[in-house]
Amino acid sequence: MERSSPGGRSLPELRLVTIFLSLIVVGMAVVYSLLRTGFGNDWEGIGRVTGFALLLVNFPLHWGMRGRALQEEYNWYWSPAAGGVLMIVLTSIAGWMPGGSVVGIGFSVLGFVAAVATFSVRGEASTDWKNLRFLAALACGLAWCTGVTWGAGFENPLYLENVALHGRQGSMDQFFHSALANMIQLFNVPSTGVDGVIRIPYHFGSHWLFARWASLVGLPSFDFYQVGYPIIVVALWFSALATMVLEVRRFRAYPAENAAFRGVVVAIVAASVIGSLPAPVTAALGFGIGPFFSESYAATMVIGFFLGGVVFAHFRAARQGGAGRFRSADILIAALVIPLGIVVLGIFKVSTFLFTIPALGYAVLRLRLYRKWHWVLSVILSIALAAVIMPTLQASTRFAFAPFGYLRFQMPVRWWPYWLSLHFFWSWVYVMVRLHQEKVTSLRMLRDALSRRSMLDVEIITLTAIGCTIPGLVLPLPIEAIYFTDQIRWVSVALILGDLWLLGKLSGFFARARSEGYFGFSTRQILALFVGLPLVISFVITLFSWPAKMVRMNLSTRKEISIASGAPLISLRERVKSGRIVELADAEMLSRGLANAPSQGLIVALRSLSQMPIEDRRHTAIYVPQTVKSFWGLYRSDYNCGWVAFVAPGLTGMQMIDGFPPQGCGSDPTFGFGLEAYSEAALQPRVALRTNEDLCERATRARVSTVLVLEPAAGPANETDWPREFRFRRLSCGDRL
Amino acid sequence: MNAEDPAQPKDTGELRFLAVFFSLFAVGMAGLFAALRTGFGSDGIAIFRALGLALLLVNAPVMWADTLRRNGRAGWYRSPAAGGLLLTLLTCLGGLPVTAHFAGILFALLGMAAAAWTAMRAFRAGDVRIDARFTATLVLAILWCGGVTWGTGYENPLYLENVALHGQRRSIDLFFHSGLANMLTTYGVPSNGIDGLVGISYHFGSHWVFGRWAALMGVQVIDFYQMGYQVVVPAVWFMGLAMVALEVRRRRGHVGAGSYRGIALILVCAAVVGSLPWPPLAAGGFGVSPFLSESHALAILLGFYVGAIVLARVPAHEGALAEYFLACVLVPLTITALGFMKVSTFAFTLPALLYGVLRTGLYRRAAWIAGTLLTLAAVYLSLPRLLQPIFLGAGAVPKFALFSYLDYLLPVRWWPFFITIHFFWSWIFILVRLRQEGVTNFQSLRLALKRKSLIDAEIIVLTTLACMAPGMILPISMDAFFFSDQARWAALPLLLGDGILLARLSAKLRDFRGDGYFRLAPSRIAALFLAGPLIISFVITLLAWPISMLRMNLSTRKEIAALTGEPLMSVKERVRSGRILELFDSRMLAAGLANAPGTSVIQTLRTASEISRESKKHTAVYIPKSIGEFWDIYQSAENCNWAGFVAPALSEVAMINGIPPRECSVGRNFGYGMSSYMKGLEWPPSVVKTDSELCADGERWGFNDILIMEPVSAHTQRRQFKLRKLSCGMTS
Repeated sequence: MERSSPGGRSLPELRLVTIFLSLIVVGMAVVYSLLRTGFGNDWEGIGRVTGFALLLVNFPLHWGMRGRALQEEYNWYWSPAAGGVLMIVLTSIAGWMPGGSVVGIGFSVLGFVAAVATFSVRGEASTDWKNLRFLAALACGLAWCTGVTWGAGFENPLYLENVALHGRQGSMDQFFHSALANMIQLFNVPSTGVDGVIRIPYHFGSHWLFARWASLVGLPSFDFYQVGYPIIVVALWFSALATMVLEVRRFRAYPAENAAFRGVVVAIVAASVIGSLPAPVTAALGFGIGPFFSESYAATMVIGFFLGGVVFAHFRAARQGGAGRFRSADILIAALVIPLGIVVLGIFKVSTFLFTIPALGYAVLRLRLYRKWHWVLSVILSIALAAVIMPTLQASTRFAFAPFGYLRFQMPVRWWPYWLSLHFFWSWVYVMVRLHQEKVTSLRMLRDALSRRSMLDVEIITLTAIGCTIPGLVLPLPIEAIYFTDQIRWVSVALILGDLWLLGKLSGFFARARSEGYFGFSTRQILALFVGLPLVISFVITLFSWPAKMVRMNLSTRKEISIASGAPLISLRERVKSGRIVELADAEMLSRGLANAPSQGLIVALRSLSQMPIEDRRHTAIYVPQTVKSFWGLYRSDYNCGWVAFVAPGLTGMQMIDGFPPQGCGSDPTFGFGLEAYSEAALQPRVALRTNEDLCERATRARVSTVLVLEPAAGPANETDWPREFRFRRLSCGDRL
Repeated sequence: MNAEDPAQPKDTGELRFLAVFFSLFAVGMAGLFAALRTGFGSDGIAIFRALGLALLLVNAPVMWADTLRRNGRAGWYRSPAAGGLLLTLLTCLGGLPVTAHFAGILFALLGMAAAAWTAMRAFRAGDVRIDARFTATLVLAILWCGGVTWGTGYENPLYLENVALHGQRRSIDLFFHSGLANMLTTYGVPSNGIDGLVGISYHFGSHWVFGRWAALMGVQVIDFYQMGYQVVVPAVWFMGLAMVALEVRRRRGHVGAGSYRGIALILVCAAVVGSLPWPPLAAGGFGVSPFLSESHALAILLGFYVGAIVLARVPAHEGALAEYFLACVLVPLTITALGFMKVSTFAFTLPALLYGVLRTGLYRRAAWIAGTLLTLAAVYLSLPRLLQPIFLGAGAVPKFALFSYLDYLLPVRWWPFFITIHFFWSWIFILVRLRQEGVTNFQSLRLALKRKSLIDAEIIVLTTLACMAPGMILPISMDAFFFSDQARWAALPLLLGDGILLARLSAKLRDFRGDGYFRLAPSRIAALFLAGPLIISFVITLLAWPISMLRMNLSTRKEIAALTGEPLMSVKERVRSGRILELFDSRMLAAGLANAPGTSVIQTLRTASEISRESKKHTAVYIPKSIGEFWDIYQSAENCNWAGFVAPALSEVAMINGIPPRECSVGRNFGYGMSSYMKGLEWPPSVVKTDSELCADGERWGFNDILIMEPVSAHTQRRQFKLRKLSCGMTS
């Protein structure tokens, strides 16, 4: 690959990615509203979320283009990645301030303007998106993104409808996350608020950010997780990856833009994000459901990509900018941006410390940056801040040795030998490519390459891969271990995509294969047929299985509601055959059916409180007597009964009083989701129905003046074990405060 | 290599080496069987006869070729495979009731002598060197083969003990197979014998052979399936595979270029043991070796012989008589015989024969035209005896069931990988051949086809497709495996017979070893990350079966120990406290087994087998439905339908009214020949028949004596049983 200076000013490749992602944002908003057809859509909320997402996705491009226009592209702060960081900081500050909702409208409008501006930029490759291949990729991308977020059993446009019908749907994490975000929004305290606002040790960064963004787009936190998170974060994740890749290419002095490699780039991104192998291999490779399964993890990766882009932009500046100018920037980056960035990432996902701090320390050592005081300060500050903040992020637990905890959770023993190869597949590919590039074929050559420090990237990838593997292999961390190891995958993928030499080779390979014809009798063609074709078919199945699942889940909920409305039981297949599938979108039928859902009354009652002004919510708490079985039995599962309480703070945006499950709840109420913080209260004997005196005393301790007591509404229909309608009795305890 | 006698063909040294290896292997299997039955008692004479038969079938073909191929004399009848086939036929004839007893001893002694002769020649010629590698391979092979035959839940040295304890949960096939073999031996009728001698359509060839071999060993067929099969068939099977591979090498002129034992061993291990976990393992085949199905293993073995004989044919050197004999007698007979062993073989042999005759120009010879027509006629005539009526259009036309085999075998997400993995060895062979012939495009393919240099690959492609088709379109789920798996065993010997390929692979491996395993070239790193897991997985797969076998064995012993009133102790605790040896105590085991719920039924039925062969022909057994200990012997509602198979299997005589009780309504007309009982019959009521009714039933099949199972005492917790003989017209 011939190396040259950066390309034109319009950043055509990043622009094309931005156009693609803008259309994904709009498409996801449309799909969301389609999935809610008949249930009613909050058009204002969807519109604001769409505009806000467009702003976050488009801003880095325009920032980078502005930098180029000002001929300031050699300064790291004019990089698109810096633009991304800036916009996240700006929006989160705006969401913190009073009147955030009004500012949010401005942001959303700006987002639409930025998107229009992106589409109307003239110049190189400005019409590259107007072709069939782009549109096909867009359709597939949209299908997968929507499917993997709304079809995997976590977020769901009909989440509450499912809860109303049969208790929780898929995951119950959403109530916990919403409760945490709500308590942060009200009190700036990371708490679940199940019995007063007690700080829980948890990495609350994403909750803090989402609470701010929810406030900007005017949605309750719970709704933000269903609509805001998928529409904003999925597109932003790819945008952040693209900005980091751009900076890696610039750092390596490759031409940052090269249209010829688009096909290979799409193939690598699709293979790493979507995957093409079935279970249990897909589990060995990672989640198998994209990086969006965990909201906090996806948000962490967004910030990580942007920060990575900033760091690469800075070191590129070291090569291309003046020395004096570089020194002040170097101090700023080393002593402020990097330590702060590392801590912020840790607050978002505590597992990132295991990647960021060793990577920083090793780079400082190997590049002999320890000769510069500000880099020494950088390391010390990063470690010190991480040490200080750690106890607030992670509950201190006794060390328990659990060999291969992660492997046991993830795959059958017979697959273990393949785990290391599969799980770090992208890292090994990158390491191999770099060894090949550096012509390292023996230990002696490796020693030479190490001594000339030409393989620092490989060293860091290898070191952190080993480091991040350890927790899952020695600690009782089943699923959580992925948050340690998976980081390496995305760093490796970004580095691979930033290697134009490799992309050029792969492009050449595919071009030759295409010109030779896919079907023939050469060894390569036969292997492509027998290995490549199954992989492609499997990829296509994986890609479309998610949207298919999403549609199936949606129709299944509608069918369930139609039965509740008194309609006859007709299978979906029969409905399609007889053309009666449209009936499942009938608003009247859905509303009637939902009214009959066992927990709809409870959901409606709790949701009504989220409309209260934020000031009132700060001084109010909810109490749900243990006699209200329709609340405490909401999940209809003994195993999960311990976590029902999250529903109240999650939906109402208020704290709870005595939110511990009734005696006899099978699950351990002191385990997980920060409930350890409440262990003292949780161990006290349960009281089925607290007196007003008792409640007010507790309200005083919780610093609230009003307690809303959930009670069944009057009427014979509610004098059952499972009442359908509820009201709140207001108990004022104001004079006690 | 044979350094002693230059007149010897160069590949007999290789065969002698293998004969020594597999003789020791057979000895090891016999030893392992005896070890697994420690405390339960082993029939030493039967083991000796089984081992002798195995040694004879392993070594005598080598002697045959050694003797007949001296001075480079060619001819298909001089090949070791011809010797193997002839000997198989001889042993079957020897196993006929009249001669079985003496022939068994004779063959055993001959086997020992043949093994000694081969070993002596092999050691003298330097073909074999028993070193650490040889010993380790042998031990691992015995452990794996023992595990894969006695550790998968099908055959088991303690099979009947397990049935007595808790019914047979995993496999009920062995009672059916034993019953069928017994009916063939006793009455000469292919029937499962559960209600008279209703003939069933089934490929009963292996049952006939095993019935003969069981007679040679002096054991019941049910015991042969637990011991004789494992001692004889695997060792001979591998010899058969080697014979085809060596004939391929001879034909290609690759003999003498080197032995390539290391690389050949790797290929055989990869194909036979496997190194991928489930579900790709299932996609690759059973994952439990070719020995899972007894009839399949025997059919493949005979297929190896036939393949090797056809390859050994040298037209220019053979007279017209030999050619006519081969084309018009041997080929039609063996193809039909293979079909009787496993009907699925027709899907391979017929296309291969027809295509081979067409492409090689044999259709110009009258012998081969006649032979082909004879084969087609024989197959056509034999099909009704072999195929279930449903496949011949009786009752219901076979249903079209798309991808039924895949549906049975794999989760849908693995389907795209099925064709690649399942026919892996076929594709590898085709790939290698295309490379060897320089075929890189359609034009070069056309040229290669024209010059007929790719006939082997063409046949593999054709047969692979033909063997794939049934599982893709017919509702035969698991049975489709027996069609498709043949392609693997056709491709593997062809690969093993490719000296050039083996030489290349050997050189690559040598280079790899020479440079050290761990280097940093990308190709080596890729190999490390791919080969490392494959090797670890292979080792796990290899050792998983013997571990399973040991665990099952100890578990049975523990269960029996618990029946003696001993406190329940886990095997781990027993090992810790040094009480593991108690599980091998014969007195304790006998006492425990006496308390097992099914012991009395089994023992009572086995006593019926002791009556004379002549008497058996006119005798049947009747077990009233009131005897729950028999009808619930499987202790599983889903298997109640097949309880009837136990009686013909153990008593060696047919049953009267052995159709399961009316209450058992599981899959009545499915499989195991049960559909034969459904033709126009009402399901019989579950009543206890009177003596006169039984006599009337017996008369239909020519049974004079009916043995009626009755409890000795009705009120004990563990009822004992006896057989009351009803001589029709008077009771005794």
